Formats: sequence, structure tokens, C-alpha cells
Amino acid sequence: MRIPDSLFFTRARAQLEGSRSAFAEAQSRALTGKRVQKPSDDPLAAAQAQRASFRGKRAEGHERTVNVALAALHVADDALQHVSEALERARQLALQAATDTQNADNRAAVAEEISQIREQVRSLANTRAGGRYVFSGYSDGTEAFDPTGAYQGHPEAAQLRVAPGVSLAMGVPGDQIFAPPAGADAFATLEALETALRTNDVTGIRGAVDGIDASAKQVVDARAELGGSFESAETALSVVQRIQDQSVAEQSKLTDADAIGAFSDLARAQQALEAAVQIAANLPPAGLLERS
Amino acid sequence: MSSLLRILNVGVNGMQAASHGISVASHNASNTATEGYTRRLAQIDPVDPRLLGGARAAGQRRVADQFVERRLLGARSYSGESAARAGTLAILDTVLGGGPGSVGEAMQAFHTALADFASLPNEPAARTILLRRATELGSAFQRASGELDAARVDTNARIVDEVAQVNRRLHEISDLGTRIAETEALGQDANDLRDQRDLLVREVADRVPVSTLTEADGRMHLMLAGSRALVGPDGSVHELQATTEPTSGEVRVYRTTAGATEDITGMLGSGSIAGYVDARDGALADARAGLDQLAADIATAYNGAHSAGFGLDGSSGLNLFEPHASVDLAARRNLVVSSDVAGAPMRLAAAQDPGALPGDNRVALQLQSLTTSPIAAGGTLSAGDQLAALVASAGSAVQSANAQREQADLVTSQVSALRDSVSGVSTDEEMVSLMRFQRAYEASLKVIKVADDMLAELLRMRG
Repeated sequence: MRIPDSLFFTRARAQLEGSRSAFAEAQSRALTGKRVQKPSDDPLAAAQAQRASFRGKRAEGHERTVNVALAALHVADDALQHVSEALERARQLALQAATDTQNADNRAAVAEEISQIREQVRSLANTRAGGRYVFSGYSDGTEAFDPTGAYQGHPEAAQLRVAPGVSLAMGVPGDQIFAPPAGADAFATLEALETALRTNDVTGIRGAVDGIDASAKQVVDARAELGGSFESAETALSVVQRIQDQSVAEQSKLTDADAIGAFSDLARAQQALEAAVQIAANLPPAGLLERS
Repeated sequence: MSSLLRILNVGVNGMQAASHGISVASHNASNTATEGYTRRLAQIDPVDPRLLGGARAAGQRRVADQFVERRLLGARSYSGESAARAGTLAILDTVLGGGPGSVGEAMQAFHTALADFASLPNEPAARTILLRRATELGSAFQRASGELDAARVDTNARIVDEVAQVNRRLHEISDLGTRIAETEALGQDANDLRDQRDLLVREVADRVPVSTLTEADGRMHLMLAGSRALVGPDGSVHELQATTEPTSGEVRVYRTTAGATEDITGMLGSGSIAGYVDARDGALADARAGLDQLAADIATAYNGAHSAGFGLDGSSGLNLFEPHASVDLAARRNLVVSSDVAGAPMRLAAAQDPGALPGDNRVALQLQSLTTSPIAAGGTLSAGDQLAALVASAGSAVQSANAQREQADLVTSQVSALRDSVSGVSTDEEMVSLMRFQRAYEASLKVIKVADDMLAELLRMRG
């Protein structure tokens, strides 16, 4: 092939351009550690990474939800533990007051304490977490129990989605714990006990103990239910955290550059660029022009 | 005597022929770096010895291969097309590439806000943030569509400009044709004008596919896409027109001949104009339509769930986004928070039962679950998956446009190298030519000297 002078120069220029852009790309990959920096670098990987990122972000949303649920469950469980203690105290007082050694005055004094316990239990049943009444079901803007002990909440508790396809009750509605339709009404029982104590009605006092036992059992059942929710929430938490880790790992696998490969590519690109510069610097090769 | 004088003449003619050779070689050598220069060969003809004998300068010839020139035109059109396409589509990488402010990130933030809204339907902050994220999602769609639309408008402007560039060159080619004919009619050398004309033809080929046809008398036809005359052998010019279509707002290319106007946009298989048109009507339009459809699908799906719910103030039947009733492209891309709830976070509907306010989050849960529901792509993909699909298809359009550009540039540089290897100047070659003609000059000088000596000898004998 006939080689005109221009060929040396156009080839050298093309070689330089190519080496420079290859070097710039390798440099950018090594600096950012990213193999896929824009969709056109690897469209399929970019799309898969985007899907993984959506999964991760959704799991992050679930994690926030789980934490909201856990906080509410903790508050509810704490309150119920205090309710258990208060009921136990009421039970002790009732058993003591029922003994024959007690007189009407003593019983009247106990009645005062029972009234306080009832108010304490109502206050616990109206516990708030983050501005919402935890035992009011959906109607969490309203006190669960009014001063008369009537339930004002909603019979259903809100469900939260804590992991893909996993829902969890935010708590137990207060009426199921304190005044279920077919169970013991804690406030009515305590009120009856107070009345029995004031009227010195020993049979009434003894009868109230059974009611307190039934209410205490309902509280224990509710705490067991909350315990189940705790477990589900913890499981959900580890699930969504794993999904986030997987999402990060997947994105990294899809779009990150292999560090060693990136730097050896960079070294290679640099060598190629230096060679191209060297060749261009020595153009044109010596010809007849230099001899004459 | 007369024969000696004849030899003297042969010597003089030979010197003239040799200096013609030197002049051509030096012209070549000086134009080593001139773009589009076609090397010349000095034509030196022997003279019939029965007449005079010796050598005679007989002009010069451009060394070009018509077949290679034709391939070069095709390669330049291919390069022009692929560079225009790749340059136009590069915007897709930016628009769909993710990162802050992208549709992807805005959608993820919206999803997170929905999760918080479902956890805390009664929390004013969660509602305010959801409204803000919904607004930002709309802005991200608008920004993306806006950038794509700006790229479309820009591409139309480029097409108009490229058409003007073509027309300017068509007139120059026509003028050069006239000057070449005039120059050659006077018996002068028009090779430099021919080089200029070839350069212009190649620049036209960058923009539209052209071919040339040279008649026996040397006059040239410049044809578009093989069949339609752009410049006739008589110098007539058929301009192209870039016209904006009133309905679509897109620029199309027309050619007028004898009063009849023809839409030739679809016939431009290559050249930068075809590349721009293809990018504009292809991947760019697809990405825009895809984003617009996704925005419409999101509005429809979220409105459906939201309007069935109840806000904290008991309001119901409200839209989350402004509905997209029409299928008009221009209207659809506007994903805007509806005036029903804009500025009124309490009206965001989380509840299914107005009797279970404010803690009822059942509608909020439905809204949250729409993040994974197949609401897009005709009910086959979730919004996130559809966005990923748009990223993949835009990314592969850019990728193949870039690959095609590289390939086209490679082809063009190969054909250019081939053209240069035929028509380019080699200094070594010209140095050899210089030495050769210098030698011939010396030889002719010697001839004159010998004839002169002989003549002097003869005269001395007489005297």
C-alpha cells in the first residue's frame, strides 16, 4: 500500500484520541469505583441496579414502620405491666379487707385506695405514645376510657406493613383488655369493690376478687398477644435489614468496578497513551527530505 | 545544420518538460498537509521523432479513484448520521441516569413517605412530608420531560441549521462547476477548483447521502439518495427546505423541483439530518412517551385508591394528583399534586372508615402497596420496574448509538486512509520526482551543450 504523509498524522491523531478517551474512562472508573456510571455503560445492569435500589428503599420504609410499631408495642406492654401490678395490689387489698378482723372504718379507708387504683388503671389504659392513645384502636385521637370507664375507642387496632407481605397489629384495642363484651370489666369490678368496701359488704368484696382475677388474666393474655407482635416485629426487622443489605450488595455487584481490575486497566490505558504520545512525538519518520 | 538546430530545440523542450515536472512535484510537496488535496502527476509526452522528437509538457492529471471517492461519500454520510444520533441521545443517560433529583430517587422518596404515612396517619409531619414528596415526584417527571423536550426542540433547530449548511454548499458547488468549465475552456488547469468542489461534496455527504455522476465532458451531477438531483450539470440547484409541521411541531425536510414539493425526510437513509430525525422520532420520543405514560399511570392508580378514602377532616372523593383525562402528550407529563389536597395535608386520605378516624390507615396501606402493584405498562409492571425498563431501553439505545458511531468512525477513517493512499502526497515520492526531473533537466542541458559544441565546431570549420 502507498503510504502518503497524511496517513502517519491521521493515524497518530486517531491513536492519541482513542488512547486519551480510554485513559479518561479508566481514570473515572478507578476514581469512582463504578463500572456502570450511566445507563449506557451497561443498560441491563443499570436497570437491575435500579430495581435493587427500589427494593432496598422499600425495605428502608418497612424498617421505619417496624420501629414505629416497636415503640408503640413497648409503650403498650409497659402500661399493661403497670396495670397488672395495680390489679395485684387491688386483689391483695380486697383479700385483706375481706378478713373478719377488719371493721367498717378500715374498709372505708381501703375503698379510698381502690378508687385511686381505678383511676390509675384508667390513666394507664389512656396511655399515649407519640400523641396517640395506644389502647383506642383506630380512634387513637380519643381517650380509650372516659371517667365512667366506658370505652370510647375503636374495636380494631391499626395494622402496619412491616415487611413485604407481613402486617402487624399496632397494639390491642383497650375494650378487649379492660371491658370485653363477654369478659370481666376491670373498671366496673373496681367500682363494685369500692362500693362493697364503703358499704362494708364482705360478700361483695369477695365477689370482686374473682372479677379482678378475670381482669388480670385478660391483661396477661393481651401481653402475650403483644409479645407475639414483638416477635413478629423483630423478625420483620431482621428481614427488612437483610433485604437492604442484599440490595446494597446487589447494586455493588452490578455497578461497581473490580478495584484491582480498574487500576490495572488504568495502568494499561496509561501505557497505551504514553506509547501513542511517543509515536506522535517522533513523526514523521525520517525520509529523503532529511537527507537532502 | 538544421538537424543540429532541431537537437537544440529538443533540448530546450526537454528542459521545459523537466521544469514542468519539478513544478508539479513542488506543488504536490507544498500541499502535503492541505485537506482534500489530490496529488497531481505531471504529464510528459514524447514527441514523434519524425516531427521534432524529445519530450513535451502535457499538463497534469489528478490521481483519484472514483470507486474510493464514492465509498468515502457513503462512509462520511454514515459517520454524520451516527454522530448526530449519538450526540442527540446522550441526554438520555443524564435524564434517566438516577442521582439527586432524578425520577427514580423522587419515586423512592415518595414510597418512603407513603410508608411513614401508613405508620403514622395522624402525624401532621408525615402528611406534610408525603405532600412534599408527591410534589417533588411531579417536579422530577416534569424536569425529565422538560429536558427531553428541550433536546427535541434543539434537535429540530439543528436540522434547520444543517439544511441551511447543505443549501449553502449546493450553491458553492454549482458556482465551482461554472468556474471549472470556464477555466478549462481557456485551456487552464482547474484541478484546485476540482479539489475544492470534492471537499464541498464530502461536506454535503456528512449531512445527506449524495452521489456524483460525471458526464463525458466533465460536468458533474450531484444526486440525493441516488435519484434526486441537487445540483445539475447545467449548474441548476435544487434546494432543500426545513419546514416545521404545524400539528406535531417537528421539522421535516422537503425538496422543491419545478414547483412541486416533496417530503424527502424518510428517504434520507444516512447523513447527520437522518441521524437527528431518527434520534428525535426514535429513542428520544420513546423515552418521553414512556415517562409521560408512567406519570399518567401513577396519577390514575394513586387517585383510584386515594379518592375512596377519607381525610382527617372527613373529606372524601379527592384526587392525590391532577387526573390525566386526555391522552395528549403535552398534557400527560404534568404530574401535579391535585388542587384537592395541595396545601391541605389533613385532606390526605388514610382512612377507609370515617368512623375510625384518625388512626385508620387502611387506605394509606393500599396507597403504600401500590408501590409494588402492577400499575404501569398496561398493568404488567410496578412503577419502579417500569422506570427500570425505561432506563434499560434508553441506556441500550445510547449504547448502540455510541457503538455505531465508533464503528462508523472506524469505517470512515479506513476509507479516508484508502483515499489518501491513492490521492495523498508522499514527500519521499515527491523528493524522488524532484531528483528525477532535476536529472532530466540536466540531461536536456547536456543535449543543448552537445548540440552547441557541435554547432561551434561546425562554424569553426567554415571559418
